[in-house]
Amino acid sequence: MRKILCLLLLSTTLHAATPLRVVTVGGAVTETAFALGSGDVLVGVDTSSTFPEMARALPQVGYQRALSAEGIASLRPDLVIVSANAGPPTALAHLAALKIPVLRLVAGDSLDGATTRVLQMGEALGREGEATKLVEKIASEVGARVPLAAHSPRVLFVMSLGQGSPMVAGRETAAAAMLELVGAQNAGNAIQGYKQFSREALVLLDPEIVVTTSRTLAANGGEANLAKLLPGLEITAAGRSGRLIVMDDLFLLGFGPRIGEAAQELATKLNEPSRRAER
Amino acid sequence: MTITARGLSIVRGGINVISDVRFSVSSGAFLVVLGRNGAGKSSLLHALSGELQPASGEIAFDGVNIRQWSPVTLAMRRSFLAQQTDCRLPFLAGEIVHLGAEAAGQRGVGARRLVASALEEAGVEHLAERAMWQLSGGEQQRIHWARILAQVNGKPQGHCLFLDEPISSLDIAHQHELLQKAANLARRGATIIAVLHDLNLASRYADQLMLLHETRLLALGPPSEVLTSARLREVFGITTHVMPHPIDGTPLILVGPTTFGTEIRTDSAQTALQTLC
Amino acid sequence: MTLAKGSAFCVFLAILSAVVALISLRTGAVPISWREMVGGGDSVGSMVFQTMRVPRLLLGFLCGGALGLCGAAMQGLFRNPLADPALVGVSGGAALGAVAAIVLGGPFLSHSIYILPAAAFFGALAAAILVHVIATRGVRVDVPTLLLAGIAINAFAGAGIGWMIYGATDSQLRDFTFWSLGSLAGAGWDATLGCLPFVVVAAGLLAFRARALNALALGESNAWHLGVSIEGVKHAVLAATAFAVGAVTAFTGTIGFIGLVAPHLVRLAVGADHRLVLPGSFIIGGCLLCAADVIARTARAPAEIPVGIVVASLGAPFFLGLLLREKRARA
Repeated sequence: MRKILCLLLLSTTLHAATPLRVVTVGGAVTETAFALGSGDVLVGVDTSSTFPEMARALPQVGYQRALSAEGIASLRPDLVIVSANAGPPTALAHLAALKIPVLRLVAGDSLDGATTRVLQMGEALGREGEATKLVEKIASEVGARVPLAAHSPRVLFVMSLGQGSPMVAGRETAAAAMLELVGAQNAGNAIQGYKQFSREALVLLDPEIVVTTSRTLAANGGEANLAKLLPGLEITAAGRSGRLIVMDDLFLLGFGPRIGEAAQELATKLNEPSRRAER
Repeated sequence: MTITARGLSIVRGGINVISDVRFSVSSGAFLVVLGRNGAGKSSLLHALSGELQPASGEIAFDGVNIRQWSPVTLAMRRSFLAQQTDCRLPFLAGEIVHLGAEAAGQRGVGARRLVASALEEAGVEHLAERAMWQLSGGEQQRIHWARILAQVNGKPQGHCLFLDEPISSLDIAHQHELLQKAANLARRGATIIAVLHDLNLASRYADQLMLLHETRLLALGPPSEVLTSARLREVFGITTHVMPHPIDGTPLILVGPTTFGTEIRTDSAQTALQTLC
Repeated sequence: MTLAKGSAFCVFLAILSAVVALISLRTGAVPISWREMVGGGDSVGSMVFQTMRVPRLLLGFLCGGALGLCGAAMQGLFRNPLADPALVGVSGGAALGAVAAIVLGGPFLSHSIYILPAAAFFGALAAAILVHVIATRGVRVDVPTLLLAGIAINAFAGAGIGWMIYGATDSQLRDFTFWSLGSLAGAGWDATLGCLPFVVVAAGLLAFRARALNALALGESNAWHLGVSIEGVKHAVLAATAFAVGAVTAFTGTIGFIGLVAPHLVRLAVGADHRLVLPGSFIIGGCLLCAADVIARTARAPAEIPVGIVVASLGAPFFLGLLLREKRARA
């Protein structure tokens, strides 16, 4: 109760009225806006805002780290909500100079981060009630995820940056955070960030399950075949049992409103008995 | 302009090309430097013009050491025509001649007038508006000759022209035309120092010849004294016959009938050729 | 070069600049009325005009101008119309500085927006100094050695950039990619005023060197015999390029082709005399970049295309056309 009162107070000091024209920068940010029911006030989104489908029809303000201040200003927004990653700093400074309110959400690829961002957006958009409900929904979804089978499997997450061949996710990546959330072991734990691994090094890691994103699969032949995706993997335990999980980028790694669903789906797939992976 | 050299030694690429050369050339002189390839003729010219630093020795223009002359002052008193000049930017011929006028200290209207007269003197006014890269090698060389003439700025007295094999790309008529013009300038007081390969051209136009051989100054004097069969055999290793020109008596150098070795009777010519080849 | 031709060209340049400036100021994602442009005030339109459009136009002119001017000077120095400011390692050094700031700077980058440009500038300066030192013996700059040293330094910078990229995170990689595509998007008064002194210094160094560069076209020997201080002009060109190209690359990233294309256009119009080519390349370079920037800002509004892409897309076909034309002409 007190929390809600505080939020109400904050929201009145920050925004006299609910914003009518909002630009959202960041895939998860746009998703959250729609999830809170504010999809109709959005007037512009960035290139990573791919969900829901309606978001793709909105005017594009460009790549989230290369924004154009004048471009955003031309949409006459009352509020611009950006992810922690957004840039360049000069563009955001220009927006401030033009007296356009900019809300920069907190960073953090974690459950806490996700829920804080939902609440931040809730108060900014005047949807505090919806925000609280969404936070509860996420919490219950994560709690209700199927617990992993007896042992915590060794999971390797691979993803291409751009069009190159897939790299292994190490510590301090969104992927590592997701794996931790569902209780799996990150086979790439020895390194930090995304790095390229040689075939031999992959064999040494010997993951039991490989997870990748649909964009990575599309950029590397499109076939759900471990040997084609990243040569070397076919000799590992995952390769022998054909265990490859493919999920949408934004869904799995966005740490947005669907994080609960993503955790559930990932956990379920990790539990599936080994069989040749299908698309 | 009087040019004096004392104890001049020049080293190129670690090799001594000229040792201890001394001479003096005064106003009105047309000096041609002769010698084999690699004898140091070009190097001598470049040292005399002030561009190349000699290993030792002293060069003076009108009694003043050239090290004491600033490049701008030097440019007003001496010009240098190279054998060949490469220009890859699309300059017009007239613009190239204009550089000579500027070096002479002229600007604006004065420069343009000087360019026009230099082009006329060199017989290339019709090429003024053409781009250099469009011209043949010989035409380009004549444009550079016009540039040199512009640098003279109508004041041959007190000016020195250095000509380093200036005529190799010119046809015979233009060869003579250029050298004749240089000789005229010498008569008006200029000092001309040229490197030529053609002995007959040297004989005709020079009033002094310098023969360089094995880093030494072998001979310096009028053509009739310097150009003897014996000397030419010594320096170039060729058989020549020197005779006076039928009309004006200047030495004419005829080469052959056999260029290398002594005179051989015709019936043993075949055997001689077989032994040589 | 006749007086008439020179004057006509100057008038043309003035008109061209005015037209480009007007188009640039009037075009953009935000519609701005004439009253807002002239009258000032507090509306979004006037604010955008004052804090973004005007400095962006000026930055575009400064950068394009610096690139054009130094391109012409480089072509004079190397006596080759295909030379480019990048030859002496300046762009490679700037890129290395930038990527190092992005990958290693991490937390510091968000504290100050000047860290990235400063790092790029010092990278450019370091590369230029290195190249200069390698190619200079005593007072004399050996031009062929300069070219080779530039190639070597560019290669070394490339290796360094490779190392940085290897250790970079996804967003750092993207940041560097966008930086190297070249963009005027960061333009504000601070960037514009930051570049200005360097470009002014460079212009000053080159201001009275036109005659010397003309003479240099005939080769160092002939230039020397014409009374020109050839070492002086070589040092001036190198210093001007280091400062100007270093500064503009620092703020706008690597933008190629303008240094190659602007002098060519000027030579096509008025010939090779550097007294026209140097200032002409500055103006034409500035106009080219501003025009490309108009396209960059409007083709995908409200998003922006990095201006370097626009310049390269137009510049590359032009460059090829140029090579073919020269090949045919000299055949």
